Amino acid sequence: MPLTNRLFFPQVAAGVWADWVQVVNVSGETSNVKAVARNRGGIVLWYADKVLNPFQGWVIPVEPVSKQQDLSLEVISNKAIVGERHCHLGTEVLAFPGASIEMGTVGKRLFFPELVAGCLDWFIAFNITDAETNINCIVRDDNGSVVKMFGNRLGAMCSWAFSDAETGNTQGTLEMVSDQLIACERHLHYQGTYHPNGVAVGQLGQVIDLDTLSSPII
Amino acid sequence: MPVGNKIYFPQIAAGVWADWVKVVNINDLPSYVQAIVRNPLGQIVWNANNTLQPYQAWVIPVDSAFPQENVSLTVVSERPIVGERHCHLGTEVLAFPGASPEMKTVGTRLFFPETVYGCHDNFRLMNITEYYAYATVISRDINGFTFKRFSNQIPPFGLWIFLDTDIGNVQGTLEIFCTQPIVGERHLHYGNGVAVGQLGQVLS
Repeated sequence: MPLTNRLFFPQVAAGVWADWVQVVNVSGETSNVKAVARNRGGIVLWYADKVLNPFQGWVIPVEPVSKQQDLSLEVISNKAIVGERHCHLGTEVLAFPGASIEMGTVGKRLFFPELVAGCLDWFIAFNITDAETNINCIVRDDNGSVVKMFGNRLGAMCSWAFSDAETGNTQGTLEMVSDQLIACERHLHYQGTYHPNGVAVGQLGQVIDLDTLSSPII
Repeated sequence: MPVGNKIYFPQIAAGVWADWVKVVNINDLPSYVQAIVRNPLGQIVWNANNTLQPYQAWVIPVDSAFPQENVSLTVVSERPIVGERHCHLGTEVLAFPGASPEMKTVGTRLFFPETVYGCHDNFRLMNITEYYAYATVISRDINGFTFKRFSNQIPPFGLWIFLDTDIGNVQGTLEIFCTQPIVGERHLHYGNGVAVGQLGQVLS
């Protein structure tokens, strides 16, 4: 299986959050890399490009552009690439690898093994395709009983944020089923019972439908 | 490709760190699930089991059972399973999904896009096979120049831990080649009550 040459970050955060995104050319040849930032509606607002030598890193200067609104970020390279994002505020850090089909972090069926009642769970899904997609979310409690179901339609290259208000502040799990390939981040902000405030964890949805290579987009 | 029925956690932390591991049976049939704890040499030191209904979750009571030694955890299920681990100390939380070949988080070539000069980087590799593994680590600076290179042998189901002192406390990246499939955790401690956990990204 080839390495990826296209990475997706569902969010670069607005406001007081400080984002840091680094990508690395993991091939033995020079690579042309392009970074494209879109708003939630899939409109391209910013881009930049750079030539990277083998195993050279690039911290993408997207942060100033995202100050006013949340953006998504797509990184396209003509050679294999990997990357990661850290989103900082005080002692809270949300960390994510760049998502891709080849890395198994983009798919049509995603699963989050944990939702925490009493904390703030926040999700952002990113449709990485050129087609509209219907997304259905299934919230279950820890015993596997369905607690809530809801959905949304997401345009091409658009993103969708939802939180405890939709998932019902449930202690349980979340499954997402989509017509098209998506990547999804979970931000867990601890509150009260479990931790002092100021603690957060970032996670990508785990892809449980892994035959995504049958739908190539590259 | 099916979802895995075996997931790996290279560490359950000793000492003051509080570990929480949750697994979920993501199948429509009940599943018999076994949790196996091994010491750094790969020897089994504890186990527990449970039968999970469809989409039922289990918080594995491994932390209270094994507080005195860093160990690894393997979860084996009759049916597809996913899981995650959070390792807590104050405002520091290290979070990891359960790793598996099917999830593409286990492989023979791993890459970490970041190592941070001036912070504390801690790496932990778990050999998930029954064979000895020979792992080679390449530490590069941010421009791609090789800074340090070193190797070690990992016993079957055993662990190897290395630190900043080994990689040279470099601002750069880390690549690992191994003769057997491994899973690698990185613990980045910023030093002010902030930590980040990451699995190595599989390039093989």
